[in-house]
Amino acid sequence: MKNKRSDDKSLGQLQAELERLTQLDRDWQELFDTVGQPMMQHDREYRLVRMNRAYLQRAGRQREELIGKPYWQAFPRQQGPLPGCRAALERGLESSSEEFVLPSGEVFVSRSYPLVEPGAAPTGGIHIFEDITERWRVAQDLDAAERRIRTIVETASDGILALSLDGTVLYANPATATLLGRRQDELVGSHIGLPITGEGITELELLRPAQPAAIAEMRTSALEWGGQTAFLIVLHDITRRKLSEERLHRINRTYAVRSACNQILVTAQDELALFQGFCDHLVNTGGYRFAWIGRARQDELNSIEPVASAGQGSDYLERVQFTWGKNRWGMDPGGEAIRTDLPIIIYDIKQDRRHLLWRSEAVARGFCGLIALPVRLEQQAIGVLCIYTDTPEVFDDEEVRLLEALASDLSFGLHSLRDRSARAEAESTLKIRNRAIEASLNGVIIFEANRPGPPVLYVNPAFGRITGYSPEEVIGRSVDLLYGEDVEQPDMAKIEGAFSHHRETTALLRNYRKDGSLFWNELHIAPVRDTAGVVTHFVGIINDLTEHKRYEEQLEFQAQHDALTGLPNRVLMQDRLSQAIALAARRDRKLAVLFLDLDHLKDINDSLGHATGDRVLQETAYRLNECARDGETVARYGGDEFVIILPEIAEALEASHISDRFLSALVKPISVPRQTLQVTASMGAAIYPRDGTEPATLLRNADTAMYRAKELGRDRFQFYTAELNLRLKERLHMRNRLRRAIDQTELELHFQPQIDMRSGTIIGFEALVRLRSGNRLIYPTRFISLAEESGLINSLGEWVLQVACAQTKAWQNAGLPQVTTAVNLSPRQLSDPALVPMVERILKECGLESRFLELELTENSVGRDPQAMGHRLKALKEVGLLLAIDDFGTGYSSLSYLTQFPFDKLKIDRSFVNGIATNPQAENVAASIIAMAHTMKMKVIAEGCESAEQAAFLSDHGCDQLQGFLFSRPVPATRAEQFLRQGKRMNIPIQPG
Amino acid sequence: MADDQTEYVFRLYSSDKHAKMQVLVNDFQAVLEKHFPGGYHVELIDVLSDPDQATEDRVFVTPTLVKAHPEPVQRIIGNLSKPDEVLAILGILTRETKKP
Repeated sequence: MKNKRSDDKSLGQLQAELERLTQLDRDWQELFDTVGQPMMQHDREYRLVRMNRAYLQRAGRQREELIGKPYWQAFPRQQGPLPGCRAALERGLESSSEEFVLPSGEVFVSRSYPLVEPGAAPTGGIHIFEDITERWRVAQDLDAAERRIRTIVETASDGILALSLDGTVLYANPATATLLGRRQDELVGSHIGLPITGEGITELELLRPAQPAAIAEMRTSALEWGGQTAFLIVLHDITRRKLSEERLHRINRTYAVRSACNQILVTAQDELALFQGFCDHLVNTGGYRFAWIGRARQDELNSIEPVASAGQGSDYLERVQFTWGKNRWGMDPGGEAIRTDLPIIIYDIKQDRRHLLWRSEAVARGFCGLIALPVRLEQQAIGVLCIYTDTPEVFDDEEVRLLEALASDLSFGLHSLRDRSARAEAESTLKIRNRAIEASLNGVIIFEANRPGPPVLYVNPAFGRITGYSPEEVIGRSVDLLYGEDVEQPDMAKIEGAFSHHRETTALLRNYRKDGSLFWNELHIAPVRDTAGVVTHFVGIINDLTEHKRYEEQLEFQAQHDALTGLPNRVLMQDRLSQAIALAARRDRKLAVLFLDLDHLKDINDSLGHATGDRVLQETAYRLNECARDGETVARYGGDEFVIILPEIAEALEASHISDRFLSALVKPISVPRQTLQVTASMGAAIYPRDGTEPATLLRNADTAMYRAKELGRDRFQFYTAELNLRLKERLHMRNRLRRAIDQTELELHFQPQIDMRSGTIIGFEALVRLRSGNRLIYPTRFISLAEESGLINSLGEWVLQVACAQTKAWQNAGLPQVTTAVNLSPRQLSDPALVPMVERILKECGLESRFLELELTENSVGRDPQAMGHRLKALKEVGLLLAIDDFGTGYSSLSYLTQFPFDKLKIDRSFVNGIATNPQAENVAASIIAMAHTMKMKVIAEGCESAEQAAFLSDHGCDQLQGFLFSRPVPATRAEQFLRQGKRMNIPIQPG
Repeated sequence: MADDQTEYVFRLYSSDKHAKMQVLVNDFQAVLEKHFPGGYHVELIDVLSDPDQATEDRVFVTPTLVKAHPEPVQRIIGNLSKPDEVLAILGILTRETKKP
């Protein structure tokens, strides 16, 4: 529509022309619109003339809105025309092209073509816009990628190289330069070599000037470089990893060394073995090249003496002189370690400037690093452990720490070895001491201090020998065990003081063995203190003084005893006699001194020699001493004379009876070599106080009496007092009478009725023995004690029993009322083991049922030996007879005491019965006895009942039976029989009131 | 060092602390002995104890095998554990080469 030069044409033509132009314009527009890229035409003033559909879409407006508006108000929106467009219009360029970026980030290229008429200024321009966002972005990316790759390669920590096929460096990145310690430009062109990696990766050491080598992993691949095939090499630095691996490995090995060395600590028997073991393990287990141990000598040179070594290069020790002195030779690391007591570490011997003297020798043996560690004993460096490596720079802190620990182990080992040997010595000393204690003849006790007792911890064998106690019986107990009940001892306080005040003491004690025997213990107690001075134990030494004491006693004994017979000598006898007199005086008792002289000893001495005479004296002494009772003293007075002291005799005549005991001991012949001798003795007695109150008087009078006995024909006894001799004579006469009486039945048995208190009838008799002397009857009080003394009592008793049983049976046979007969038993009879069989025999012989026999015993006869009597009474009970306790109330026994014996009946003593009606106390006693006897299921009989009042009282208090003059005296058997036949009875009186 | 009769001269540069490289030298010698009896020399150079030699020879890495003789001097680095292969790469042996 730019052609406006057609006014000269015809209208038709114009019409046609217009149509053609309109068509053309439409075609143009269609053409415009078919183009996908935005297009527009603007005039000289940059106003939009024409634009295609793509442009309108971009602008987002309608065509009509935009026609005539400057294009920058539509697309691209900006201030003014595009610079290229404007330049092209103004400078008349053919075209221009420019890029612009939309705020959206889209990038466009605008190509503008000015519309030019030849020779005229441009009338406008046509713009074609192209969206190049994508293309632009790709271009941008490519650029960045290249830069990035370059950066990666340049900054990579891995070395990256390009090598030609002959191994020449084409390219090396900066990391390669660092790894190889050379500049990049130095490397390029260098001939490194053809790389072979085998299975992909291979390890290389990279050598660099003046630096430790690095270790790298190498990878290779093919690369096109400048149209040629090349190698791409990547070097990955693994130095650190390798070093830490190596370090770990080394530390593990060092640990292994340490543990192996700990074994050595335990097993090494001496220092050399210890040192050698450490060195061996450092090299063999630890992989160190060389190790040695030197001992610091205290010599003039302060030399270090190598004592053990292991590994390669032991001649090093021969070539180098080591000292720890501060001189130029002492400048070696070992010496320095000893001197400074510090570990000395040299990381690289080759670089070491301080220890020049030995450096070349060390280097020559491949030693690279070294650590020298002081070996200490009691905080002092006494040697050095030197360890060499074959690579430099291996000692890091961890390994140094480990090796220091190893050196401490070695120090410890050394210490404990020395300690061990010291202990072994101490132990052997201890063993010797133990042995000494075990072997000691003195008893040794160890007490634990600070515990009550204190308890025994140990006793040696001698303790057992002395005391009889085994260790088990004593350990844990206190020493009180040895005192028993004998705790009131003078030295007891010393012992207690020693324990409580931790003092040392010696005390003399009466101690008792396990068997109860006494021993004299000189006990030494000493406290034992620990190193802190605290008392932990006491040691007690028992010195058994028994032997010593015995010796003392022996001396004393010998001083007081007769050497030949062992009997007390005259001195001791007089002493005893004085004591006995004093005692008798105090108690108002009698005592007897018997003087005994062997008859005819002079003849024996003369005819058979003194040795035989001595033998007779010894045997006599032995026999006399054997039949002496407690308290009686038999002493040798001199020559063939003996003195016997009888303390506390009841009556003078008893002395005569006792003298029989001694004289009869001599009846048995004495055996002397080749024969037996019958010896007799004459005896005289003096009685205190009748015959004197002084020992000398008594002895003299006894002696006189003895001479009288000799004059009377020897082998006899004489009192000093004539009257006594007279009485003695009478007594002997009586004894003979009694013996004859028993033999010739001059004895009679009388019966005293026993009355039942309820019926008043006779239920039994007490049989009472009488000795007939012509028309006179002698009562038992006069002869029973004589019978007892002389042993006639058994015969007498048997006779009584025999007659009583026979009589009782006879009455039964005669059809008289059945009665019980009570027979008295003397204590001596009761103690005769033959009693029970005898009773059984008599009952059987008489044919009497045992229940009709009653035996009466006094309290005192059972009181002598309750246990034996108990058995005896029980045996009697088993026979079936009745047992009665006689004279109850006169002895000391209580009723309850009697319950242990099987008594059926109790007889109240006549003294209580006599007191009834006159003595209320006696009444009380009688009443109580009755009541209590009943509670114990015993019958009660009262004897000596003489009055109706007494009978009434007894009846009233429940007494079961009575006997006494009130009813009948004891009567001969014929009279008793009459009573039974007549049915004699008593009217039991009733107590008045 | 090599004398006149020596056909091949190799130097193996190693910084190995242990005896591994000596074993490798032995392996090389065995292969070379098989192919060129007496006509070779293999030298093991410990760069740790002789670092100057390595610097002089411009050896940058170990292990490096230098074929010093005959010309041209050639170098191989890396995994040298297979002498046959290494010698083949150097063109001294073909891979199929048996005893010549």
